[in-house]
Amino acid sequence: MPAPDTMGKEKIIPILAFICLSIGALSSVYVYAQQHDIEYIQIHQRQFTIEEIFHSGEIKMIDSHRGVSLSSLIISEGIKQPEKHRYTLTALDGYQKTVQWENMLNGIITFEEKIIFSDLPQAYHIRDIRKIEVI
Amino acid sequence: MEKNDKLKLLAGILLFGSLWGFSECIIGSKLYELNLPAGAIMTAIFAMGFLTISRILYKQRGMQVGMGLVAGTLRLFNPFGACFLCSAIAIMAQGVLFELIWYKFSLDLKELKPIKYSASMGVVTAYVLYIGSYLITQILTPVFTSAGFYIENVVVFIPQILASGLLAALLGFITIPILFALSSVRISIPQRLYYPLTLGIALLCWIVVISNTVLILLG
Repeated sequence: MPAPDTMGKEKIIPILAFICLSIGALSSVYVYAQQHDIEYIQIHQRQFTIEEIFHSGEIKMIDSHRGVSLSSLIISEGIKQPEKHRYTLTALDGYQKTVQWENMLNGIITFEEKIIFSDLPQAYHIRDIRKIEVI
Repeated sequence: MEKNDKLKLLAGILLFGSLWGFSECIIGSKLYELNLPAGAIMTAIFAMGFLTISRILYKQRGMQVGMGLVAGTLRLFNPFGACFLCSAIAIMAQGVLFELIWYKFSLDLKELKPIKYSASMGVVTAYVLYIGSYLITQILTPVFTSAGFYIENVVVFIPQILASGLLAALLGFITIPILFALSSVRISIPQRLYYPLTLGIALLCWIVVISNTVLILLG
């Protein structure tokens, strides 16, 4: 016979398991329905292809990664006093991170459309970048 | 608890924490390189496996928090693969979350013996460990960086986090029933070999992980 403090507790576990699986499945459906195949990358208010970005920005290296400096892209967009803004970077799957100007100075966008920062952990390395917002 | 029992528990924490950290550093990094769902596999099989088997063997609450601290610290010595700071935070968070989920169950876990309950517990534990630690890393990692933390970055990504836990939950469905089945196999270790074995294996895990780090850095 189960101890009084544990009696009946186990009966709720299958219900909780069903709830967890339902949340996971419904979220997967929602995420799939939300995905759009966007080809361009929006920087502030304009849209670019990765080729256009590589033709317009300053090329930099971070370790073995070659890419266009994020700060040069922001400056070329005519942002005044860039150090007074924050920058939100959003990926195709909705993953987003907000960084400061000092981070943008140490960041690049590679030809594989990946954002890499030399001064931030890999959680800030964003694949399939689709938008860089100036806040 | 007597002093000898405390020492035995401490050695157990070191052993299972080191094995967990070792698997995260070596196997987890390999899975990540192979573009496999490393997070779900590591959580539902390795993390939950070591946490559950240690709870079955030692029957002690609090042990799993200690294991998380040991494994997370070892992960910090291996700065490769996915975001290693996130991994270390996630591992430590998983130790705490496991304790919270399993706290109310009896120490001999007899209420989880029927397969219906152990499989369900696997689903709940794997899902909560995965999405809980994911959320915690999304909050804590930015705090430790110069970029700062912004709640909107977490909120907008919650549906993806909830969805990504599904695979871990499905794997968890089989992990705990298998562990309960394996726990019926009794392997007795002579008392005089307990400390040399536990501490020796733990030390070996640390040596391999640190050597791997040094070799990668030199190579």
